[in-house]
Amino acid sequence: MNYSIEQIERYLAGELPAKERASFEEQMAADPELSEAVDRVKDSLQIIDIAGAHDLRQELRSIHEEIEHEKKGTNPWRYLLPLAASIILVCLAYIGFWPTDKADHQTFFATYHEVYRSPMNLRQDNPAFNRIWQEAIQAYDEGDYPAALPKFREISNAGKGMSYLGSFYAGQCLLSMDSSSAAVVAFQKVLQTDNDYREQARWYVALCYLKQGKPEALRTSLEAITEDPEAYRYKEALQLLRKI
Amino acid sequence: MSDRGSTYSDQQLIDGLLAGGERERFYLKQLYLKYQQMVDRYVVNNSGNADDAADVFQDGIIILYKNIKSRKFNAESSIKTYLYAICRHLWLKKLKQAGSQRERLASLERIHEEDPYISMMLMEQQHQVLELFDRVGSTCKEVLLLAYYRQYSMDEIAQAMGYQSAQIARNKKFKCLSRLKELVQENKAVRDLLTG
Repeated sequence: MNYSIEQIERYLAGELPAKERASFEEQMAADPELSEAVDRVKDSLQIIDIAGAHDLRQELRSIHEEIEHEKKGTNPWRYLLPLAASIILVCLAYIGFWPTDKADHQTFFATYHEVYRSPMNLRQDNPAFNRIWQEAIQAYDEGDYPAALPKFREISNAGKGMSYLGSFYAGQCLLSMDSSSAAVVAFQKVLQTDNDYREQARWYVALCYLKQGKPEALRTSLEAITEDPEAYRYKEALQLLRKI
Repeated sequence: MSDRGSTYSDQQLIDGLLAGGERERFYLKQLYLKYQQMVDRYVVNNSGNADDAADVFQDGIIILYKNIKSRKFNAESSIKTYLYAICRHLWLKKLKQAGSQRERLASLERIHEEDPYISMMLMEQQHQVLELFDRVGSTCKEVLLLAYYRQYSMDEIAQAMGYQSAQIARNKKFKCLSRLKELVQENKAVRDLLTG
């Protein structure tokens, strides 16, 4: 079989030019392995479609609840605005009172820190778990980190397959709430198991050290990121290493 | 925004959804605000309750979304007429099923390319499919959903996922698709569900 998955995908999407398409089909007729691979990619795309519709449905449910919530006049911004204002005040106080190198760290932190996008909706067998997860996501989307934190922690402590995601987002909440030491612990928990949020967690551990003004620990974690050019936030890690 | 309805035109909603990215949720919400009442009224006036109306409306949006993203739907037809027709069809189908004791057929999230309406898939079957998808891992799930379902460009995926270039996003996408393909290859039960 001489075809890449990319060519198979293009074939299925109808993106191959007529000539290439004809030769692809000829090859497919002669090569059962290729023909089977095409079927499997087709199955995969169908699975993504089903999962995508499921994910969109969860998002629409959360929009529905948000609208109902707003109709009842409980606008989350009413209590979020004072919270945001107090965070800004704390940041200003930090910058004002800390020695210069720490103030630099705070400026860098503000430049590089971005709250990680909210998690895709997950599906688990357990309805109670699903409910906690939905509530956690909703609070996280609204920027209500103090409300989201205990829910993500609960998921993290449940010890199931998704506990690393619970830890990761608990770390996000903590970092946004200025508790960078507790955030490091949460992100390190992600790094202790084999999962695909390790790259992201590594970057956020570095940000925690940046926030805390710990140059040595920061340098070590940034260097680890820059070992792999395909790593999450590789470019930013490189820039930051140069600046410090 | 606590007002009912939305002032966005169909064209703005379509453009907003096609543009994708972080603002997509905003446009979905505007779409929801604009047409929820219409479907709600129809279902409630035809032996349904508010929960039925929400289910049917959400199914309708899922179909509309898919058709907007694949550019099968454009602003030449109005969203209002289209959504009304789909939701009406879905609701009548549901009533008919309830009548023929087939309520256990759940609401369905499998959409055929040829058929603008949702095809049926038992909840249990859907569960097996989603379980298999879970096994590609959270990052791959996000990359695949953003690339194929939400139709993000490679630049947008790179931005959303924190990769340094569109090329890396592209490599990840194909790596993840290959992983899913392998999982499907190993799982005959799910393959049979998809073709069956």
